[in-house]
Amino acid sequence: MTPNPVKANAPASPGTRYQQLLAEHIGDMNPALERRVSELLALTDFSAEAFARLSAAEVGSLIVLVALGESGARWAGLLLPDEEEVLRPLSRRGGGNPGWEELQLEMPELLPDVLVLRSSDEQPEQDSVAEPFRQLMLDSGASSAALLRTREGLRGLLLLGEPHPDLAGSRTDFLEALAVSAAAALEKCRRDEELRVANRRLSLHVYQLRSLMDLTAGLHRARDETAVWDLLLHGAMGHVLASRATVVAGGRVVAAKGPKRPDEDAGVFVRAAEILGGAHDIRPANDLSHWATSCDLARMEIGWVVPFASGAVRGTLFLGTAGFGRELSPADRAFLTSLTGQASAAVESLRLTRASIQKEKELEVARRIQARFLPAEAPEHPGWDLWGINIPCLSVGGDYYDYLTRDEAIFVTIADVSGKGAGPALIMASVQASLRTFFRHGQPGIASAAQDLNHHLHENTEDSRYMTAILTRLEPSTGRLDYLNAGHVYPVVVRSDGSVERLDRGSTVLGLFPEIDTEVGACDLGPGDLVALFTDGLSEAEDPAGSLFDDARIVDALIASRSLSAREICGDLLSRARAFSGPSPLRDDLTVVVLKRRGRQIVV
Amino acid sequence: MPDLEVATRRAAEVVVVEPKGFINAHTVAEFERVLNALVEAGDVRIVISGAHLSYVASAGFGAIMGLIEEARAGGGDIRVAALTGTVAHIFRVLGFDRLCRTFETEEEAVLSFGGN
Repeated sequence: MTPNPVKANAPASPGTRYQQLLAEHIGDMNPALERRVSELLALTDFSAEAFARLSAAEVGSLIVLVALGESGARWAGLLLPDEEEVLRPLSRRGGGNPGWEELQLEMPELLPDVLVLRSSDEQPEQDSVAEPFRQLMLDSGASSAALLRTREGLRGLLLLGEPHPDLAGSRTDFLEALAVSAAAALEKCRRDEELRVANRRLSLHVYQLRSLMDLTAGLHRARDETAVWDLLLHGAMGHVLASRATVVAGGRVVAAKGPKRPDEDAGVFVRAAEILGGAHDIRPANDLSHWATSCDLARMEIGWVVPFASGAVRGTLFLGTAGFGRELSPADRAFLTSLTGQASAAVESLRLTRASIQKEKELEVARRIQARFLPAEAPEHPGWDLWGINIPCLSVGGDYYDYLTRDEAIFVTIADVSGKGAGPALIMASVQASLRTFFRHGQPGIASAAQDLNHHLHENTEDSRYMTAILTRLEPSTGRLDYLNAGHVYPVVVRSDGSVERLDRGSTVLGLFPEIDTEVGACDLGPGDLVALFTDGLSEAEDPAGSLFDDARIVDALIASRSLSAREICGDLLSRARAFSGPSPLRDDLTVVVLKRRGRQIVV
Repeated sequence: MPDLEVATRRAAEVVVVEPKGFINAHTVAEFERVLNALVEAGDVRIVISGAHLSYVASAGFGAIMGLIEEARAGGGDIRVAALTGTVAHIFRVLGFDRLCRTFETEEEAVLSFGGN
């Protein structure tokens, strides 16, 4: 303890000035009065100083000095109660009494009525209340003891040695007055200390809360799982001040911090995590219900085990012994539970994000495949105007269309493979290959092409996969159109006079059954007539209220736009469908192919 | 300005690490990387100077705790000096000053390692 440095030339405080005034009169009075004034000065001096000082040690030291100075005792010493309410030596001045440091007294429940006990007092036969104090005086060689008590209890015990022989006379009155002031000063110190402890606890909680917020933000910002696990370890070790920690997730050690032990064995942690199974309470490592593993963990200097889970992410945090080997408080446990919960949630969210990025990449591949297999441009023909468009939606579907020319005939095909994603896109590619092979090298009939495709799809794709399609063969010179509708939305024929037909002959969908019956339909297209082939991405476009861009709307649009070019008709259909669906995104690929015979002026 | 800059410099056989700014979940990886590189290179006499440290969240203490034993096992230590204001308060409140030797000034901390 360092007493406050005294500055000799500092300006006198009001208390000091008052003492100076009183002190000037000492010497003018009779000796008895002089002594009282001197005692009074000592008491005011003590009070002014004691209440300004903060620590019990400083106040205690002052009590001893004042007592020694005014009582004329050879020595004075002060004992204070510790946290376990045992009186222990705090401060002592004056000539030796060996064994002072060993003195101690368990705080008695009852206190004597008096403030000062003297060894010379006449002792009642059975004064059991004062007995422990008298014993202590005997042990220490004290001739008097002052009980520093307040209404709350005993706050200290002041022991005084024999007075110097030349300083005769009783100082009991002064000692009692000092005892009262000293007890009040110590009481104040005690309150101050309680307040400091409470403040410290509060600021610790605030700090821990800030740390948890900091960690939570960090965990959810982490770019990969390693960063999450590292931060979990740092946060947990920093919180309990442990020098090592390991985390197991998914049956392996995913991160570890602290010095490696020469006998470090990841297997110990993995086994311990297995033994814990679905446990979710924090426990000491020596309480694992599996003795050998508990011993292994103790060897690895692990003090605590924290199981955690979030969704599919399960793991266990192994934490070294907390700083000073302390127990974990309920607040520590809450912190660790929250931290591990946040870490596993962060890992889960990273995994979900990764899965969705993976899916997005897959879709991108599918889109590229699809784009590569769609025809770049329609065949040119003097008597015919052909155009096709394909708008892929966000999640790739399996729309397909193609034109092939052979022996003066144009084969136009439109198809829609069920499902979305890379699968349908790949099927589409194989459909294109087999159709091209078939039309270029085989018998160029659309019925046999449909049979062939059905067989190919049924053999080579999973059971539930199928395709709807329109296969057509156009003879440009005559305008004859043979077609086969395999379960597809009906193509619409719009004559130059505005009359409408639908192409409904054909077969069931392709790929679902081993064999199919086919029927080839036919129609003749005159000058100005057109046929529009499309997929359900058009006919099932939805407005925000859930109504469909159905057959009637499509027919109306086609009749209205029939005097335009094939390209303009496609564009018109698309813009009407978009205007119809408003802000709702396309739910499916949208494909439209228009074949229009040139020639006649259309009468609208 | 970045949340944390970590400077290191040599003072005799001791490396002084001077973090400037905040050590928190966001910056702890950088702080640990510097300490880790020193310990791995055998520079185990480390003084962390807190003169320009504004704040240490508990993740930062985790990073020190994770390396202090390794430094001690290598014949060195991680010691802390020149803490100010909030940071000094946090060290006391956590009791970290009981696990890790702290000094008023960087010079005292450096000298505490002795001359050899």
